[in-house]
Amino acid sequence: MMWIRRLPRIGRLITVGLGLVFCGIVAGQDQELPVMNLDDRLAVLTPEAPLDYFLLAEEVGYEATNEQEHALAMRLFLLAMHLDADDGGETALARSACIAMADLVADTALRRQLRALAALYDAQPRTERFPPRQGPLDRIPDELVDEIDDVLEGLSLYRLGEGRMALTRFRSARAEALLLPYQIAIGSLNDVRSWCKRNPVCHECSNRRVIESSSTDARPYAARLCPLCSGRPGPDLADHRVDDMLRLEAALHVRSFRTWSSQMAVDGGKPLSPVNRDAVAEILGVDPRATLWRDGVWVRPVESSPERPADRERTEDAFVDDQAAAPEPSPPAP
Amino acid sequence: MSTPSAQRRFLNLSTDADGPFELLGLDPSPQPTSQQIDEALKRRLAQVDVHPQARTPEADQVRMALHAAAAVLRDKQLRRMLQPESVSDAAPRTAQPRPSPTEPARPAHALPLSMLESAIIAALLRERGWNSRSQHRLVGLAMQWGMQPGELVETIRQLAARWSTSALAPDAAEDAASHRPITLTGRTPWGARIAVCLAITTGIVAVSLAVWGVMQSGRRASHVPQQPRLTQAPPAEEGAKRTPDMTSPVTVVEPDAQPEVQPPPVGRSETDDRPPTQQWQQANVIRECRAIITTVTAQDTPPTEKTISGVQRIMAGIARRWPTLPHADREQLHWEVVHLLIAIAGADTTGSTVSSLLVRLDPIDGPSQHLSADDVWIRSWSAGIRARLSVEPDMSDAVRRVLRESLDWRADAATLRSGTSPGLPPFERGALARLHTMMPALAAQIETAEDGESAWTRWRKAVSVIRSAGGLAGPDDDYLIAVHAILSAGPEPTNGSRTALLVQRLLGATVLNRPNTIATVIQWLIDPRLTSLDMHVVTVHMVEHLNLDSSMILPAGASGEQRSYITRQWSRHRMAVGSPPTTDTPATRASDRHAYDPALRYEWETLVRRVLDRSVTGTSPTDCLTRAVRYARLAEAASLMERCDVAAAHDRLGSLDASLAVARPTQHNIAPRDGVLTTELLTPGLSDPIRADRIQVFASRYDVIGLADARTLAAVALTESSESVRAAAQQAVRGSYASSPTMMLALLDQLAKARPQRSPALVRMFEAVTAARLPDARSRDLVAAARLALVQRLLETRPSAVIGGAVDELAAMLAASYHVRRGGDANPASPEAEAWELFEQWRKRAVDVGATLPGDDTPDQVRRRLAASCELADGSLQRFVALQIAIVEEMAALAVAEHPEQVDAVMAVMHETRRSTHSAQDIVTQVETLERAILRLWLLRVQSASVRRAAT
Repeated sequence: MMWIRRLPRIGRLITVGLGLVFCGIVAGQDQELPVMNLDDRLAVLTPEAPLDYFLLAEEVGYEATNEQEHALAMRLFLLAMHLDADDGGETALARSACIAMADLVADTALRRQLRALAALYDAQPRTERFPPRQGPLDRIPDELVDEIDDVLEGLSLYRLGEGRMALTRFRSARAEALLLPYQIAIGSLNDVRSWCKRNPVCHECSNRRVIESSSTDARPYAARLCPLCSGRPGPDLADHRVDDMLRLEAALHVRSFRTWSSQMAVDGGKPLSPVNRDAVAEILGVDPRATLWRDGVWVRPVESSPERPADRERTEDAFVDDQAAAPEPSPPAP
Repeated sequence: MSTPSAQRRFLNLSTDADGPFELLGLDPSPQPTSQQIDEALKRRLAQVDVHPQARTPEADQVRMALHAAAAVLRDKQLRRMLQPESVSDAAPRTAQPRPSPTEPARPAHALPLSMLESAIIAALLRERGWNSRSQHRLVGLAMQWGMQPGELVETIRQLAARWSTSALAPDAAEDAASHRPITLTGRTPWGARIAVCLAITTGIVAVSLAVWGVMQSGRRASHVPQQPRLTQAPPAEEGAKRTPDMTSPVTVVEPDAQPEVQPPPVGRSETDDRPPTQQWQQANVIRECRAIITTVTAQDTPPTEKTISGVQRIMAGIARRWPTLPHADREQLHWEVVHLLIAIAGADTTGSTVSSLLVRLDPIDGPSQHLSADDVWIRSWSAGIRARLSVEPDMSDAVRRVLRESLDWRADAATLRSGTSPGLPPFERGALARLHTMMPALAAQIETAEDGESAWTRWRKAVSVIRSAGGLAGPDDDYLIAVHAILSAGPEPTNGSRTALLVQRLLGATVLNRPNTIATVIQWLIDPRLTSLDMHVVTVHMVEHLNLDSSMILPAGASGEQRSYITRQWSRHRMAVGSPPTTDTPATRASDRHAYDPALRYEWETLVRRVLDRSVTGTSPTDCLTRAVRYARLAEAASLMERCDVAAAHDRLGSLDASLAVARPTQHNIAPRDGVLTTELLTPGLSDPIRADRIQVFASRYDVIGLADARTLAAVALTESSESVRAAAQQAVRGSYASSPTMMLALLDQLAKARPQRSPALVRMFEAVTAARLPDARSRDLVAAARLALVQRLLETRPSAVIGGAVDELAAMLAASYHVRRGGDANPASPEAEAWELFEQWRKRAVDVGATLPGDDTPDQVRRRLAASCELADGSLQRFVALQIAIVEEMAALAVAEHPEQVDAVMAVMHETRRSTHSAQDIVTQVETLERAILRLWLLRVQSASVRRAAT
């Protein structure tokens, strides 16, 4: 894990040593968290020593085997991050905590928030330009060429009303994964698939578009338009939906979303979210100011003021929401 | 005043009255008594009274003219001067007799006061009493006579006293009868009216002249380069005299003449009818100008041919030698000429007289018209005076327009609008623009014309004089432009040719080791219009004079590769020398606070306030981005103003909404009877010829195709087994529905259903529909390429997709604006890339002065926030917003550092922007909000600079 390397040497030694000791001590215990004197160690944590929160979080995260233990590790990391950031964030502890949390969480959005916070607390920001990342709205990996062709033809077949054929194009997991981020452009993938399942072909004309009319003497083989699909099998798509699909196709063809219109087609013009430290706390259900473990619950220090002096000063400076007001206290864990 | 035709009509005159005697019907000799004058006046007034149009305004004007004539004739001195024997043949009757060249001229204030008095009276009568126009004329009169304000006031006071004495208490010594009160309407004595008027006038004029004097001294002290207005004297600095000393005629001297400059010919020409031996004297010219002004002002009629020829002679004399005159003398002469032309324009409101006078000096030529050496100075002078007159506040709009139009034909627009001549006064700007446009013609004739070389010598002299007058930049850039013109429009610079020598001479007069010169040479090396021989001459000269390695010389017959190699060599040398100055240099930063052009700044601020105050209507993506582009363009104009690129900034303000009218979707064309072709074609049992025939009939009958028929036709065109039917379908698609989006979509979708029958005809069909070049029919990439081409064509042609296209167009406009703001020289890149460049520039400026936002500890924190935002940003649009935020922060930090007094205002902008950005529901609203913030910060920046400038 990268974050370990970023710790001071003594920190690493302590972490590894403690980890080994705890592992040995609690090896025989099945249900309890194998961290020695956890309750006592939680009780001695104080906001003046954010590193203690971080080190304990490392131990707990390493040993965590269930959701509750995992949540405790996250809380301790989060508190370490908040306390260090409030203290100026110059020790890189806040950044390390963010990286550690990013490695632990599964939620993509939360992981990106944590990486953004790690960049925010980086004392030595990168001086080179940030290259476009690989992603659904940026550069699409080259190895997905086949899947791209499949899904684009699948969309054409869907528009043509060839539901059965379209489903074959969406069948592979990679194709589905490819299409998933673009649901704003093409509509819900489940809806598309269910439409295709319901309408493998036109139930009246089987996509021949015409049916035989009753024969007359004059025209024994007369044909007329299918009364069900009117000669146009396929879903009734609004113009803007077709336009969005076309923009998606144009972008997927070149595997890059270079135009703003294509990006707006696929993400619906989603605004740029601010970097928000407290949003992380909110998602995790943690009160970042409840830093003391007393009698089995997390409480705020008595002297904690409703609003930190730094908040008022710094929230006014930046477009980053890392100092916004904290959420209401949440039920403590564990 | 009444017009001559009105006088003829009311007074039954056969010809125009030429002076007060004829107007009153009196014989000049012997002198008429006052009684005779009164009787003549009564007769004439009665004549007007019995006219059918006696109650019209024109009749009143004639009555006024009669009273004025009588008033003038009652003055003994004036009357004597108007006698035929006292009038010079060369000058109009009312003008002062022109002194001979050998006779020392008297100072202006020593001239007979009666002339001045008559001019004062004429001015008051012309403008019907005391009003703003007559004030203006009186002040102008003082200037014409070279009088101090106090002198004019004293003159008016004396005049008023004399008139009141003569009107209210007639002098018995004079003819008693001649001083009977004259009644204007039968109720008020005329003399008393004039006296009262003059008495009031004296007081008011004293005040106005005092104010004028204060203003003028203030202008003199400010040293701001500005063209003198009608009511202002030429600049007092540089030895210019407000009142030329007419007692000592000034002979033309050439203090700054270069050795190769030949003395200008002062001989006879078609417009100069004086004897060739007569020496050109500035004092005489000034005197003639004033005499003509007096005549034209007094008569208020279109100038006569004689007057016109006099003016023409004066102008030709100045035009032929203007670069040889000392700056102060030149300014003085121009000032006189401008007044002269203003006076003429006042009598001819169409401006045609003034324009034709100037155009005669600079006629429109054919493409192969020869330009003589004389033409260089004459034509550039004409353009300069036109440029000067076109900004004169006393010219009517119509005249100014005529002048500008006549100038635009001949002058280089970019130079004229000061694109390459910031800070130059109007005359110099116009003359320089004309000198630029005549370069190709001069270049083309250099080898053939006898005076080809001397024409260029004069060209150099004129440019040098103009640049030294501007005082801002040397003529280096003009010389480089000239070299380019000579090399691109002139003959090949073979060894020893005039062209080669001239190029070397121009380059020799240029500072070669500056980055701009080397950058220009690199551009020439890339320019295909310049041959290898051209660049051989240039590089040889550069290498010799800069002591460079001979490997940097381009051989005369160099290949393309050699030329590229040499170009790279010069690029490396440029890197070694350094880049041309940019906005980031300390010097330009220091000039930030002082560089804004006041008029342009006012225009910009007005526009910005109007745009910012405009209520926000429309929330669609195109609405938001349209507003963002407008904000960006205003910021761009501010950036250009800061770089002193006045012309570009002005153009930007003038084209604020250019191309912003984005296309709106149009109504869909409803396909007539969709399904007709489908039913006819899909009927079982039809033979191939019949099916092919039905396709042809359908395509010939219907222009618009529905989706069902389009899909049917597409399927047939792609996969039909019968070649004849497939060909008919492909022909129908190509011939009738190639531009139909419905057809394109049908083809796109059908391509996914089945593999097409490949053939050259299929490729031709796709190429016709997509308007794109596609691979060969056997190529594996054909289908993929056809799909992409169809998609791109659909996005261009689908009415509903046009909005999306408009978004991309507006994004490109934003990128272009950012490109200009960062001073980019190539084509604009993507919005994101341009925003990166602009951010880096602002960051550098902020770091240079150690600027941080309040609350930030180090300048790095903006970059840290940007890094964090970029981690969260998806796609180029969101990254653009992240960069906009960073630009706003850097601008704010710099604004606070440079103008600490603005910290509250800057932070207010930041708070509001932060709140709006976070609450925005979509990305385009964020783009608009941040662009607005950037503009507001520019407004604070410009305002602060102005305030500081005013304080200093």
